[in-house]
Amino acid sequence: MFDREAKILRTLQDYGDALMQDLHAEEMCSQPTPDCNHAAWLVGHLAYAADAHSQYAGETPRLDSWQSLFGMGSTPKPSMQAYPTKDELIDAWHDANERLVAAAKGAGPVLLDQPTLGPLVETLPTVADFLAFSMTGHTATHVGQLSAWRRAIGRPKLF
Amino acid sequence: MIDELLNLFAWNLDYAHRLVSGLQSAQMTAQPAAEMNHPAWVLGHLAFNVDKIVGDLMLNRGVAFPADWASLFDGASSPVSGASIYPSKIDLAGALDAAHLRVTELVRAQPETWLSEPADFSIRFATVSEALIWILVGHETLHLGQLSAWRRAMGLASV
Repeated sequence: MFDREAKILRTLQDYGDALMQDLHAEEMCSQPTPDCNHAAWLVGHLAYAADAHSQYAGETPRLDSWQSLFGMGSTPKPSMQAYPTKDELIDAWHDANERLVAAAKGAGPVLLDQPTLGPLVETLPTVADFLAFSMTGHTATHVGQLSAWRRAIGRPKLF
Repeated sequence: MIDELLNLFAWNLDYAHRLVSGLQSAQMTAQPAAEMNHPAWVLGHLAFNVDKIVGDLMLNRGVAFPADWASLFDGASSPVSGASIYPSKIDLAGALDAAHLRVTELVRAQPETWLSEPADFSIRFATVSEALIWILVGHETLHLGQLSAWRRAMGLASV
């Protein structure tokens, strides 16, 4: 279970990495328009989210300290001084993704059949649905924002 | 699994409508940065893509998407500024609605065993289910993420 979602997640991760590969550290916080989600916030949010979401599969979170920077309701800061380095952010994202995948695959049917907490239960009824969406739809949305942000700062598209 | 995928597919359609709600005609093809995917291109591309790949390549039912629009929105196309070459917002939203309806009905009519069949039409995906997760969820939400970033680049509120 979750093999297909994991493949999509890794495909999106590879694309996200490619979108950031040629960026200088200071570019990671570029905001061509006010309040624009920049690369540092996007990759940090994806790392934080994957870590937080893995709790649903029984994993112990490791990025709780990132909640104020990257959790829901957080806003992008204009300077990289507020953030971990580019490499730290990307490494954290990769690590969180692998832990999310491992936790999802290791979770038993009783846990996976539990109802999703909160209003998302209408669209994502079970923990299994939520974890699948985390790996696919949620990640894709923010990687899509990253690709658009890259064009907005004047960087060439990849394809 | 089919029901779960189609639920997310339906959520994507609702999100797409919310992202373009209130946009004026000229905004639909505005590019606040060079080569940025604008709403007209995103709506048309999503409609073309699911109709072509699921309806034609996966299920051999041909295409329903208007043939004279295909070159504007296929995988080799790029968005162009200026409204004159694109269908109207109403027509594009209608095309996306129609594509979603057609694909939903086609997919729902398939047996669960279809999901395990090899994805002979693709070199990227091993099985039908893997391809469907990408086409109905990953690919759509990636472009919708671009559209959400486009809104912020235009100075519009997030939805």
